[in-house]
Amino acid sequence: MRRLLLLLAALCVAAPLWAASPESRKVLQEADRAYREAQYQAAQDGYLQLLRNEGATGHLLYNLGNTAFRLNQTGRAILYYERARLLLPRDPDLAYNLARARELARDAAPGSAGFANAAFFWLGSLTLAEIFWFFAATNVLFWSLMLLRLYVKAEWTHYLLYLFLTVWLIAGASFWMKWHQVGSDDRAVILAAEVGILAGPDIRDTLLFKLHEGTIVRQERTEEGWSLIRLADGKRGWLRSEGLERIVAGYKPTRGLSSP
Amino acid sequence: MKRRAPGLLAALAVVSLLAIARPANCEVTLSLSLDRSEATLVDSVMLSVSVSGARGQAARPAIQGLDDFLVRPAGASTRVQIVNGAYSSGTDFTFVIQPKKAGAFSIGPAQLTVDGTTYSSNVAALAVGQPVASPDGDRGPVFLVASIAPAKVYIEQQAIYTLKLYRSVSIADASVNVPELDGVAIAKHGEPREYQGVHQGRPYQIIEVRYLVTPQRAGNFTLPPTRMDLTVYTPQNRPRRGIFDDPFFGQRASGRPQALMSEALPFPVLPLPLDGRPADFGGLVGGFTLEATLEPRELKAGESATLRATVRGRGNVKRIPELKIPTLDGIKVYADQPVLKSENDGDGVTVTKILTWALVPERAGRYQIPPLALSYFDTASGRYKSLKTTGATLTVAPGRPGDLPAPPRVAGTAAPAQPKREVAELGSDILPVHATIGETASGLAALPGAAVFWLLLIGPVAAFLLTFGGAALRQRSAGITAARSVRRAAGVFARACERSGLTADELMQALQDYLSQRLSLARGSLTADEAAALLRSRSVNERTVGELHGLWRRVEDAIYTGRGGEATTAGAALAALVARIEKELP
Repeated sequence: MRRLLLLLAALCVAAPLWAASPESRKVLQEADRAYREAQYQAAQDGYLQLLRNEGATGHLLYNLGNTAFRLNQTGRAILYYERARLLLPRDPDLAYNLARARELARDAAPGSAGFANAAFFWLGSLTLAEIFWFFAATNVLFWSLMLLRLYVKAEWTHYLLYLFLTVWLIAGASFWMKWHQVGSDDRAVILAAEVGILAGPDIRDTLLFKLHEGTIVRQERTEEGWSLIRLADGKRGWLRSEGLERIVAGYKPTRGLSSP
Repeated sequence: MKRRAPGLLAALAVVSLLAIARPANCEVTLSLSLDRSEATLVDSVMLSVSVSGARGQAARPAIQGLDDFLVRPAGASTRVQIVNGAYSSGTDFTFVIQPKKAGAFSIGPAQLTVDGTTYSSNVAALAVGQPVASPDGDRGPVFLVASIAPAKVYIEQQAIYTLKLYRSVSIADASVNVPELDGVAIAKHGEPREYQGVHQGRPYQIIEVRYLVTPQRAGNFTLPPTRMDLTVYTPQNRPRRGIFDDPFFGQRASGRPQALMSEALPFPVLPLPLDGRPADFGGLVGGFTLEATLEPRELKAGESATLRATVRGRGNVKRIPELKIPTLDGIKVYADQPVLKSENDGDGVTVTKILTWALVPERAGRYQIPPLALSYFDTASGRYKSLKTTGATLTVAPGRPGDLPAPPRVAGTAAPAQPKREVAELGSDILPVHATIGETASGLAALPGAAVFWLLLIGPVAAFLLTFGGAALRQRSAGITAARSVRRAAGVFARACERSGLTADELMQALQDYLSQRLSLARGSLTADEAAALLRSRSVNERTVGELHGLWRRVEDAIYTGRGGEATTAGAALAALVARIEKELP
């Protein structure tokens, strides 16, 4: 049994090493070297090539955030860091660098903490996949216990059933909440250095206020190349869609499933 | 009534004229004009768009070619003209435009869409040049002057950038756009001041705003001109007609937007010299003093003396280092939190940093407290300077044993708690890239495929429901089988009784089987009394029960008297009796 556990642990550690192709590993090494030698544009190009070839990983998005930060692309750095946070919600390096990038953003952007976020405070520290697997395990155990209860009417199964029912309900609600959060995440990052927010989707409309690179807004809808955005304090207005990018646009949380 | 009559008559006349007049022309025309064709960056230009022929209140026209101008609406007026009995109406829109940059511009056309048709105006040309200083020094009733002091600075040395607005007329809505310069931090310093002064022999009201300029790197910089936008109220030359005819009420002065530009200023920033740089130099630049005091200088062992160092001066105060005291044998040193105080004066920010240590001698003796040192670059002399305090002698008399601050430490016990100080942040940067990028979303790090996803969610529920349903079905099936056997029990017994040569043993066995199945009893041997009691409990007629009891006894007697293997005639009677029992059983 101990040998089996050791083998499983070794497989888990070694998995990333053979996950990427030799060519991708070479690109990664070159991009890392370029970063160390302060050739940040070359490093960014390498990481973007990996993104196209291998798909998104939290660490790759984090590295892209670092290169954007070094290239003074504050908005894009925050965009990549926020995308990485969806996959690495507990990474301390990422949290630190994201905080640094946010310090460079000129606009104050207060967060909106609703009741659901306060009640399900753990959702921000877990990925959708982690919550799903926990719920799936709880689901199997709960219904297995229900089956057992058909044949074993012992008192301990009664109390165990109530315990598992509670855990199953919390896990199910958490999964639904996270699924909804990811699916309805309309946050976007301002990428233009300074952009005027207008009263309507027309360049001749009244200028309401200005936003700067790195500010996170809510993208309510788009119309013919224009986006209607909303700030946490209720300010709303239109800007050209080239001036911002959705955080979840380049990140697919599901595999084989469409987003909710 | 008499006073109102002329006005009423005039109004009636206008209405009558309008009633009988005919429209002169229904064609909509637009014309665009500027009050000048040449201007400078600090001028404002009146732009008028006249719309004629549009019925009712015309919409504001859209004007092309104003991307490089600040545009402020200055009002609209409607006019009606009656010429030879034909009337025409129109609206004049007025705007004040201020150029953002120099160059040649084409302004217009103004466009207006009426009833689906778009009408366009003419295009006007405007040449915008750089502002030119007046050769005789007269700069008009309002102008802006910038200065910086000192004119030449070292890296991180503070300089004061002063803007002075001279005015001899009323102004309002002033806003300043201070230039931004890469490598130079510019921050507002203090509140604006207002005072009276004289320029070229003319009295002016002066508003002064100061900015603290701190260069971050060396180089020959030029501070770009500062632009101030404001509204200037020019007095009108007509007699005052009442207390409300005053600029305060907006009656006698007409406001006109105007932009003022200050001069561009050269701002050379020198690097810090390498020659003579002390080893302990930490980047402190400016002018500073260092003082230290020790009080009291005589005390007993276990008592506390306070060593206080005060660094005071002007410069990049964030770089004032934490002064260190070397370890003193026989004296415990407790550092206190440094205190930083800053004062704004007209020439910059003066900061005082006070560092305090508590010195607690453990035993009697004379202790030399070493001097404290601080190096900085003196911007006044352009040289590095090292400040050093004078050392001090601390005379310690023996104290009573009970006065000692802390008992001798025993191995394994905690050291006395040192006062905590906040970790000072010396720089800001991000953490490095990750060497491995990990797997793309797969395994437990990602959601599974659709089949596995739904299997894990629905599968356990389905398995439970199937098992539960199967168990219920099995239970129901057993019940049906039992009911069927109950219904068939009488038939089986009747067929057994019809058999020829039926013995008493066989009849008793058939009777026992019938009752067991019919009444759903466990298999066993019933006596005549038990059978009678069971049937009574099932509400069978007492007479029928009595007859069964009698026949049961007859068969038992045959069995118990050794004639169990002989044929019996009780079968037909029992069959008839069972048929009655079937009818009476519920």
